[in-house]
Amino acid sequence: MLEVQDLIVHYGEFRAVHGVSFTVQEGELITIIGANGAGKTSILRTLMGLQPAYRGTIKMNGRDITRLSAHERAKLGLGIVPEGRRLFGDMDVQENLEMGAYLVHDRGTLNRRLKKIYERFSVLYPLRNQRAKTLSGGEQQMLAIGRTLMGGPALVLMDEVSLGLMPRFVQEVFDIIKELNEEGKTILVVEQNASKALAIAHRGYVLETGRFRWEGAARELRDNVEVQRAYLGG
Amino acid sequence: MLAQQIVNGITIGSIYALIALGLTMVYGVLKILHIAHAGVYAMGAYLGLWAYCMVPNLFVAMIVAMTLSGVAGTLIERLLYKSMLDKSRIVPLIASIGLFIAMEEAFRLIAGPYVRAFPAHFRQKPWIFGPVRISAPQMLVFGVTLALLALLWWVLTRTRMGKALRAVSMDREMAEALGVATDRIISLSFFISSALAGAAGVLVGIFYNSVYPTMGDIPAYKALAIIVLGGLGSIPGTIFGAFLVGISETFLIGFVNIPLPRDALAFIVMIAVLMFRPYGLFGKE
Repeated sequence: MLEVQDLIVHYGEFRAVHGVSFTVQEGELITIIGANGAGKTSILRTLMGLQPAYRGTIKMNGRDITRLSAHERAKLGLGIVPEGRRLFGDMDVQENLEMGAYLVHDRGTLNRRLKKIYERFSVLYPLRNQRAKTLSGGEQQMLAIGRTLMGGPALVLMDEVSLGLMPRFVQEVFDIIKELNEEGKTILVVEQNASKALAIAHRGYVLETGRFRWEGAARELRDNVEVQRAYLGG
Repeated sequence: MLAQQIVNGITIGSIYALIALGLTMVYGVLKILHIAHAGVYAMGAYLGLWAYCMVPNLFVAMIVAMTLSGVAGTLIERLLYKSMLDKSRIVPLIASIGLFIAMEEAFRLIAGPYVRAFPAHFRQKPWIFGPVRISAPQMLVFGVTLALLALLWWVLTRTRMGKALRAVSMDREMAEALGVATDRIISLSFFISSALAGAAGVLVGIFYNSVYPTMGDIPAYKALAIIVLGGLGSIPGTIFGAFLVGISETFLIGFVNIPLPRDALAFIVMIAVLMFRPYGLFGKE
């Protein structure tokens, strides 16, 4: 589904990502873990088209999308739940969800998806006419995920969705990601919370200063002594 | 006397609102101060005058002025600002001031340096409610402003495009990631803003019965004061600010007779507001 070859990302002179290659197959739940500043967010932003690739190619379903703008990539089925949630704070919950379905022109599909989101995130339904910025952190994160799902993306990119949440929401968010994947969504999760991410993912990549240090099945990474020492607190 | 001053204040406030709204919308999506907006406003007045001389119908003149002003605004965005957005914000600001001066000179060269009268005559007698007198041009200003504000509200809250526009002004990158072609939405916001300014130009031309090359000078800085006091980028704040300044002006001039030029008042109000609310009346952080 997604194929990334030798991706290099620059911020001005600074090279944040030094040539990474990876793939995401349909139906997979993949995680990229790494410390703060390792380049995880840069990779996701570049996949979405919010940050230009300096070198390398990004292919989606065999099509080269490296030079496409973000809204064109959204049309092809890429969706992102960004770091920091990035809700439209002055819009109400329902408007935020409707913005997520901006590319959906059919009212019937839109209503069906809305219903599904309100079923999955039942906390959001009573808040639907409330402005997004008045929601709690956990509710905001649900809304951010729901908004992206409203677009019906084929591949969902999730950037540090557990960051800044209360512990009980952290587990809930990971449960939701797992559920979504079990329902057939292809998901790429970028996380600092390595143990939780590796617990739900099929495969993982460990990013260190812009390069993949380890990669493999999530279980292998969990069993890897060096990964344990560096990222799993063991 | 009091009621009459309120009516006059609302008239002036209406015009300020139409001009300042565009400025605040442009600030919302691009975070630049579009000084040349006042040039578009003066252009709207000339376009309306020209159209009215061809076809003496106010409705037609208004539509022509709004459409062509809208197109002009879109061209300004595409040809001038678009290439400057990744530069420091002072760059588009300077370009905007330069364009504004160039536009005024162009009006002078094309239409002449003198004040032109707007030959719209109203047979309608003023409406008189007790001590309050509302003239036909005032009715026109109220009616057009009210209709345009209602239309703008409808577009921004009820249409897909309008919601996208609000989303872009809140978080452009996120809107883009959700599939909004933000380039097109930005052009749309310039079209709407400039059409409103064009309408304001026509209304002022009729209300004061005069159209002249430098008519945008005072609105250029007054609209700036209004959007700052309303909270940059806030639409309700701008409308409120416009009426606040309009009514303050007529009141303070009418009653207190302060020894200050009328046009300085907008700034006094602005400074007074900013002392207590540094981000403007409806602004955030």
